[in-house]
Amino acid sequence: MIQQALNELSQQIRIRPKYDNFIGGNWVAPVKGQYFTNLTPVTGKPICEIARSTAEDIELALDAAHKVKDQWGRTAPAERARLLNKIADKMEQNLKLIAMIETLDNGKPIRETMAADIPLAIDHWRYFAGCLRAQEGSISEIDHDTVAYHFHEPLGVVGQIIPWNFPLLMACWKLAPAIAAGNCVVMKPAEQTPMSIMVLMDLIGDILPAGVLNVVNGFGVEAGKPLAQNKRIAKIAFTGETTTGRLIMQYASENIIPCTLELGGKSPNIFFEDVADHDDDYFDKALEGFSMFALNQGEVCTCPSRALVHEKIYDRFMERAIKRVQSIKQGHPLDPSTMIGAQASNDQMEKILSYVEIGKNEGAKVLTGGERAQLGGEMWEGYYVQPTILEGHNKMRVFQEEIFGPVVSVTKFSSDEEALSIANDTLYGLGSGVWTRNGTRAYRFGRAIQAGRVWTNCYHLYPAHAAFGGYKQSGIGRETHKMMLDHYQQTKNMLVSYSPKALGFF
Amino acid sequence: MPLNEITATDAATDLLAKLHAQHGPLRLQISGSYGVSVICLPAAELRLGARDELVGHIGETPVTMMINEERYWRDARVIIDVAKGVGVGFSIEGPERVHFTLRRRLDPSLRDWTGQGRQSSHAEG
Repeated sequence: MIQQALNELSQQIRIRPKYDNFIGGNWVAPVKGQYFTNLTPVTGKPICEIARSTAEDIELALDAAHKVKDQWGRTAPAERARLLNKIADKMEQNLKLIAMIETLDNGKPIRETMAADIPLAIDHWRYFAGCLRAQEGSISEIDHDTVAYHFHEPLGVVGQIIPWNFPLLMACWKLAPAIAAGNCVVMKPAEQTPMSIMVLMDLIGDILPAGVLNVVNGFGVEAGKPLAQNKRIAKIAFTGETTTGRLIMQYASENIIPCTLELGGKSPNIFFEDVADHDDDYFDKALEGFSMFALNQGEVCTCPSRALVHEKIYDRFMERAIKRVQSIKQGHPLDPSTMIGAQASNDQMEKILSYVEIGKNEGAKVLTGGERAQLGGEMWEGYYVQPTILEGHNKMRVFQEEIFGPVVSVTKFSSDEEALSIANDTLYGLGSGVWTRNGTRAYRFGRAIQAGRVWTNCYHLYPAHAAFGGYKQSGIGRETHKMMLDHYQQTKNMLVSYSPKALGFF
Repeated sequence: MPLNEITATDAATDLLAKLHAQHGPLRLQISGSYGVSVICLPAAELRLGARDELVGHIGETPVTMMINEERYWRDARVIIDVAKGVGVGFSIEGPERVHFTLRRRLDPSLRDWTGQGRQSSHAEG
């Protein structure tokens, strides 16, 4: 199936056996001539070779970006927006191709890449094209003869480091606002999923002026770190793991540049008693909301990995929820009916399974799943884990630590106060879910949760124009909203006097 | 405050020795998110702060972590090992295509790290 898919793809686009870096509009071999093998999690087998870059390659990419930054920064917003829209159109025309590559690179089901990852990525370019056209500076009248003008100016050249769980969507979340705002970018993709973005460069690479968008692959310590530490970036944006986030911030402090971070989560999904008042569409939606922990194999920073269910409906709700989770279809990621695919790596799978053991040792009960899913055929060596529900209490490790897999830990609560205290008893504050038919309760509860996103009677929606980002140790800054333009722009204030008279001081 | 027991497999000790020869003194930082991981850095790379705590040593290499995660470690035997595949973030063993990994065996019979006596995991926090 994999070989068949690659053959089909190579009729539409050149699938390279070896991907160099994309620098200054060209494919540039890594200076040291080293490559590493990229494996597909679908089968655990190699699919291509990828540049193993070093600081020298980062410098080349920064040279290319600096060469064009003034020109790009001065390009009219209408023209920048037109090119962003062109990228979106090109991606839309090639949706299936891009979705398939993303599935091969990451292991997520084609159903998700076709319906979520890639359409959301496309919309992101269009959203920021629109935001840019609508952005205005401001004028403040200080007094009759003194006026403050505020202009938006690009930062210049920015660095971006992205994770492996939504490789293309995370890339576009960061690229679209940065490029819209007039910056040039050097991006370092995750070494676990370096291929799909290079295929994307083959598709869209000639749309932007050469040097505006540069992609350099390699390992974190060899390529990511020299980018994050570099004197020639004006900002660094990172999505990933906590200690790396701390290092990114530390490096940013050495250069006195801003950084934005999107880190981990342990998001609560809270089901109030009135959820089960009727067995209707809403109840069905709530059961789907519970099952959302399995989306993207649970490899989502906002995975609703803690479910809090009111004790009065607990048995009834869980009986239905378990059935719903057991009906999740696990299979080949390229099969359009597959709902849950492969974990991104063997290591990730091992970690997830070890958490199930830790949970059991602490007294958690496995309500369903809990084991590796050993699928047949070419998937035999792939990294598949059954969607798993653990029952326990919030002090257990499986309630406190981010597992990054299709595992939800469920507990009961008896009052709103208790639910809130459990919800907020976490290091993180990225996502959360509130399910109730009572609008006032939803409002008060949503405001009291310490998290950047409170999905209310929904979960795992990621539309552009709704701000996304973390409280507490989940990070700094927001994405997917026009306020992102501010994260990639300077404010220039011109304070102008129209009075001919001296102040009278000297 | 040291964890009850933090040890390394021979593979992890060998890899640490090899990395030490290349990079000089090292630090292992246990890190919380994306599933628990252990990150190997040059000793002075990460600036330690008020939340960081020394929890043990592997040979000469200190093992540190953010204190707010520590309550989940005190009744566990921690074993640092090596696995195939690329690790996390800027961990220096990444280019070797292996990574340090961490296993925990819970053992309620272990004495609490505060020295206040036996403690089961359910009495935590």
